[in-house]
Formats: sequence, C-alpha cells, structure tokens
Amino acid sequence: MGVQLGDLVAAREISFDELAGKRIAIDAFNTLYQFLSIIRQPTGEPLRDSQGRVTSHLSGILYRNANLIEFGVLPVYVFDGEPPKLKSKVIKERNQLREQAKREWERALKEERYEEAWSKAVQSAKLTDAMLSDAKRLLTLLGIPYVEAPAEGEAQAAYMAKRGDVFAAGSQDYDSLLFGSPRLVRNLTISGKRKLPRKKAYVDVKPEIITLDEVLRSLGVSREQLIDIAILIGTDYNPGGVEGIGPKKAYALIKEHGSAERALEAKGIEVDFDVTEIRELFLNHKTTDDYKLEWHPPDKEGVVAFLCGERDFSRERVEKALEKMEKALKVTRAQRSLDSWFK
Amino acid sequence: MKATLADPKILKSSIDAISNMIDEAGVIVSQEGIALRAMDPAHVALVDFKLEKEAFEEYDVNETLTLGIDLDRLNTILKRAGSSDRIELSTSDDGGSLRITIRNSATRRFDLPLIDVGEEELRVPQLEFPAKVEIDPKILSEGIKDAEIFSDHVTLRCDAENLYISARGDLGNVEVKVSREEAVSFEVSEPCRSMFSIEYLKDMIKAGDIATTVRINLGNDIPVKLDFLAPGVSLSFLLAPRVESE
Repeated sequence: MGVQLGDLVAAREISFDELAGKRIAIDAFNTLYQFLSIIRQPTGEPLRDSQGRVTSHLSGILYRNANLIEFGVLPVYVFDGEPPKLKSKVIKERNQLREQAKREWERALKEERYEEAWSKAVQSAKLTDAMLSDAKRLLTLLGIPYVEAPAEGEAQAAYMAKRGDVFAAGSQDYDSLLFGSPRLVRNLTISGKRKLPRKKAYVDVKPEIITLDEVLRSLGVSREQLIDIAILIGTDYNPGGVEGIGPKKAYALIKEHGSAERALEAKGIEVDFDVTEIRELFLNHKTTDDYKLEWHPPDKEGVVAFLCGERDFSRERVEKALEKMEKALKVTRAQRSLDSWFK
Repeated sequence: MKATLADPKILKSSIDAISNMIDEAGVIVSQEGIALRAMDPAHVALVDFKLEKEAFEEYDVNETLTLGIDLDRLNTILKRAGSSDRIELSTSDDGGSLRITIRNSATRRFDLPLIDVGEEELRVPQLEFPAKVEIDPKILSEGIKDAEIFSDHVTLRCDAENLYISARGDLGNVEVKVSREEAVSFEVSEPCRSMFSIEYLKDMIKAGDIATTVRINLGNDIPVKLDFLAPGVSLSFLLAPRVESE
C-alpha cells in the first residue's frame, strides 16, 4: 500500500540497458504480493501444486529474476522484520479487507462472474509464513542474496542505497524515498504485459526511475517536508492521514506552513496521531549492516528438485530459465557491454 | 518471396551459432539476399549475417521485407533438415508466417509465425584493430575448448610472431600458440591482448564449419571481431571484452 505520492513525484522511464550491471535492493514483501496478485488463472485461482499449495510466488521469483539477471540487473531481496507498533492498525485493516475479498471472490465464482472473481482474488492474496520460507529457500538456490531487515524492508533497502551498496531501491511503493533512498525503481518485476484491473485489456508496463534529489528540487521541499506531506496524506503509520487532505492540498499546506505541526495548528485541526513519532520512524528507522551481497550461479539440481520434484513445475521451462540465468550471471560482473563502442 | 538452398549446411550452422545468443531478430529479405543484424539482450555480442543471393540455388525476391523471427524455433526446425535435403524459404499465403519447406524423399512444410520486432537498423561500431590473424576455425575451436578446462574466460593475445589463446584458473593454466607460419594470414602492427567470455565464443565457433578460415580482429581491451567468410556468405561476430581482474 504505502504513501500515495504518485501525483507529486515525476518518474522517468528507464530501459533495462541502463540498469545493466546495477544492484537493486528489492522490497521482498511488496514484490511477492505482486506475484501473488498477478500470477493467476483467469478464474482468479493462484497457481498450485498437486497438493494444493500455492506456487504463484515461486513462479514469479524464478522467471522474473531470470529476466532481470538476463538483463544484467543484480537483485537483492529485502524481507520485512518486526513491524513498528504504529503499523498494527494498517495490518489489521488489510487483513480484514483480504478476508472480505476472499468471501466476495468465492461468491463471484459461484455466480460465474469471472472478471469480478479475478479482481477479488487479487485483493484476497495473503502471504503466509510457508510462502516466505519457500521464497527464501528458492532465492538461496538461485544464488540471489537476501537481507532480513530488523524492521521495515523499505527502510533497509533505502539504507543500502544510501550507503552506495546498491544503486536503487526497487518497489511499487514510494516509502523508500521517505526513508531516504536516493533512487527508487518501479515496475522492475512486473514489466511487460500486465492486465488492467477489472478489464480484459492489457497495458505494456515499463520500468521507471524516481530520483529523490529531483523530487525534492522540483517540489522545493526538504526530505523532512516530503515526509510531512506524506503524513498529512496518510502513511502506513497513520492510515487515512488527515480527512479531506490529498496530495495536492498536503503539498500546498507544507509549502505554506513549513511543517505538518504548524500546518495542523494553523488550520486548527486535531489529529489522533503523533507527527513527531511518525516522522522519526522515517528519518531514523532501525536498519542493519549485517548483509553480504554476493551473487552465485544457480544450484541447478537443487532448484529442479525443489520446483519440479516438490512443486510440479515443468522441468523443461525451469531448466531453460536456469541456463539463461547462469549464462547471464557469468558475464554480468566482469563483462563489458558493446554500448561503450557505439558512438 | 521464395529462396531455395541446395546445401542447408551454411544456414543450419549459422543459425545454430546465432540462436543461442539471440532469441529473436528482424531478418531483412531483399533483392540482394538475406541479412540479419542483432545484439544479444545484454549487449555483449553483436551478429552481422549476410547470405547473398548467389548462395541460393534459386532466389526470387522483388521487394524488401523485414521478417521477425523466433531464432530458437527456427534453429529447432533447421536441425530437422539433413545434409542432403533442400531447404526452401518462403512466406505463407497469408504473409503471417515464414514457411520452411524441406524436400528430399518427402516434402515437409513448417510454418513459423512471424513476431513483431522493431524495424530500426542497428549500426555496427567502427573499430581499428591492430591485429588481424586468419586461421583454421578448428584451431580456434580447439583452443577455446582447451582454455575451458581451467576457466570460463580466455585471453587472446598477439605479438609480432604469434597468436596466443590462453587461460588461467585456480587449478592450472593453458596456452595455445599459433605461429605466423601456421596462420593463413598474419598482420599485427602492435602487440595486443583482450579477454573474453568462453560461453559466447563457444556459441560463435559453431559457425566454424561454414568457412575454411576465421579472421580474428583483435585489439587492446576492445571487442574482438570474428569473421567467418565463404563464397556468398559473411558471418561476423563482435564480442565485448571482459574486464581483467587484478
């Protein structure tokens, strides 16, 4: 979910060629939810193995990473740790929404309203502990590093980008910018043809990059003020934000009054959240230095045993993806591209 | 369009070498012949392939067409052709497919649906190569296989007297030396060396059996250009170097 900053920040389309050779810290939860939502059958049913276990997330991890690595991108996945206490309200709301969507999905299926079924199924996607451990097991077998964040994954990704260990954070949400990531790449793992919600149409999704400096410069605000704008709109720590204040109004208020506290005071608005506490969560979030960024060729036998042996994936397709990855990875780190010789 | 090859080997070997690196490409069919120029997705290798109309037994093309081809599929189909088969290329009646007809004791017809590819033409970087050495493709192929025993990359080096194909690894070293007398032709204006990925070279060398020689164009830490030349055919690969680690 995250902060609705899309109207305020300008993204630039970026080609995979420009991302070749670059390390990107990808928000694992965000990406796995994307996979669970998108990788579904027309009835909304996720992919499952013969024992009924969901495999959509594993399919996404294998094929999307094979694509990324083939383009020369080096992904590292960042998993959420303990969520901040302030997030419990949002987590509870989301769980309720999922439960409700699940009931509506089942009803729509029974009544053969398949388009609605699909969109309800997407909203009901739930990431379980079993799926998370599946995901980590597959990443390890694929030779792709992952990091366990002590708290929010987005904050950890931002920290790694700030230190220069990775080029950018990768997520659909804008929160990593608030956490201070100098760059955010969106649409990284969902590029290509993507179904439009509630429609039978498809759009071509391309990766885009957002640079924190450019955002701050074009808005003429500091990072603290960008956070304050987000707080007025609503973040995961104060869902809904201030009633009646959307992105444009929030921006105007911060421009006029300088901070969220002064804006609220000037407007005489009482809120039930602590602005300072939330701002502090974005400015000084708990992160760790305990990570090692190394990419290894995939353990082909291990992946085949897991995905084909245990989860009924097609051996031919899995092997093809693994070969693609192995070959690309071998060249990525030391291999130059011909682009430098095109004048 | 209609183009018939009496000897399928040139097309089979060329597509075999290309298709492992490049999944899909626009093939330009014109009155002069058939041409394909493309880079692999990582922009590490570029292929420039021309099959002139003289290479065909029969060549009937009146317009210029760009056919988007899934090269992997095309390779699978061409592998089905034996060395004494005749291959006829044409477009299907509705124009949506490339039709490959393999004739021998029976007539086998494959329709490969065309795919959408960009029409813009790819330029080729202009490079100055201080070393141009022409050798038997088998020597290069064997040298690369020797190097693979110890490493996944190989150094190509030239001095005034020799071409060296060498590799170093944790488990040992190997060097293959080809003297100027052993080469078919040898022009080296200054000593030079560059290092390359064996994975890519192994694919490229599959084109070795279309030509009696391969010209290795080499410089210092610049791409290498391999030219496989035979009457009516030109197949060149450009491969970006690896960074030599200290």
